[in-house]
Amino acid sequence: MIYLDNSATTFPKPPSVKEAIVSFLDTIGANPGRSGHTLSIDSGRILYECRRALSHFIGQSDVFRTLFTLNATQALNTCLYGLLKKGDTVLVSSLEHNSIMRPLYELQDRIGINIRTIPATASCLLDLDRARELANGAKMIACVHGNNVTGALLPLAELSAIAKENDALFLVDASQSVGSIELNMEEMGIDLLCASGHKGLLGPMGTGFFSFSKKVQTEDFATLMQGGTGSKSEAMTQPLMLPDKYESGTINMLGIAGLLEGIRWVEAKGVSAINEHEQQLRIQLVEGIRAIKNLTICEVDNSLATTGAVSLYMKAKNVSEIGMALDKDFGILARVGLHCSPATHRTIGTYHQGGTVRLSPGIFTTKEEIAYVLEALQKIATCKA
Amino acid sequence: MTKGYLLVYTTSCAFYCEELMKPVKGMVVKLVPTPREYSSDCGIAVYFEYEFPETLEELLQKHHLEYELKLLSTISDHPF
Repeated sequence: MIYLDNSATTFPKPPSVKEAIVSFLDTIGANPGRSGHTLSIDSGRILYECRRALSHFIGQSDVFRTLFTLNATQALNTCLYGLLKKGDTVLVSSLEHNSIMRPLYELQDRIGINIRTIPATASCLLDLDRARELANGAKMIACVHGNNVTGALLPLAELSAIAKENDALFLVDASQSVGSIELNMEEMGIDLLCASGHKGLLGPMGTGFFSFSKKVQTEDFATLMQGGTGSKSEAMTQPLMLPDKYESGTINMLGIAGLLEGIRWVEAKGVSAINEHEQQLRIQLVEGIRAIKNLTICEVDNSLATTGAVSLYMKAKNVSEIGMALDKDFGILARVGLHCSPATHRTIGTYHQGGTVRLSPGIFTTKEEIAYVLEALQKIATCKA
Repeated sequence: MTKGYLLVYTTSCAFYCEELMKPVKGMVVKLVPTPREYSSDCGIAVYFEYEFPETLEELLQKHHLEYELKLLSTISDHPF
């Protein structure tokens, strides 16, 4: 079986990730920050080490400003609901995932925020001149880093500069890029970085995070959830100290134990080495797909860097048929459809056909596997049934 | 030798203090359950033994940490 759905979640994980989870379950198992006993302290130490390792990894110098969530969607919701108020304007790209768009539309309906959209070409090139016009008066620019359909990386440096010029907060969803693309939120002028822990960071599902810069004032940043934090228990209201303010309820410590080892594995391997590997596979895929008659690849503008993901389709077959053939006939696991990103499919012109077939190799994918995938695609593309 | 506790408001802060204090020469540091006589904000406190409490405070304040310092007056207060 060949797993090419790493954009949804990476698989397999490094053995050390599994070992850390099993070890936590076998030898620690306690709730961090809820007691002073030995195992609770051991558990808390793993949580702290993960927070520190992650902060260092993403270029956050204040370890308390990195907060854990159950996934990137929860992180994004926390930031959007916590910071946006009635009448605020948010600028997004036309390549956003539902994890940004749905909370924004909900906020538009509930409290009346304004959403402005930066247009893009079918090859994912943003109209940055238009972005500069639209940013006037915006409270926040919110965008994805790696587009989850095409693999296109949005121009963060330019968008960050536009945010700065307009004194807007710059929020980035790095779910598709963290771990395989170099990221440093302080150097890149990112005010809010949200991402999954179970993709490029190789942690287990049920892990995500957000991290915010000193430009974000915690007194203006409301909590999405309130509840037990293990601190200030005498107070009936939510404590204001970081990280507790934004981490109510028991943390997914099995996930955190695994995530810590995932981050360590990525750091030991090196982000640039991971990126190079995934880029080589992507080039092999793109060149191979271009050479197959009847297949169309969703091209990304040459000026843009990419993640490892590639999307394709063919006119004669719907994407579900292709996906099913890949799985049942060849043991190749890909994701088909709209990938929770209808905005992207509208932008690149694949919405009405039901989306695309996405192939997303990961660090454990081999070039031999990609060669086999290309052979399979060749057979599917030339098969009339 | 001065002995005492740092009472902190979050467990994250306790671990951060421990990380800062451990490399300091002559410092003994241990995370412990918050003693009953003190207000228990997060369940754990930072116990320390160190000759220069002023230097310790300078270190903690340099990192903008919120804490309450409780010094133990005599050797008999040693909890371990």
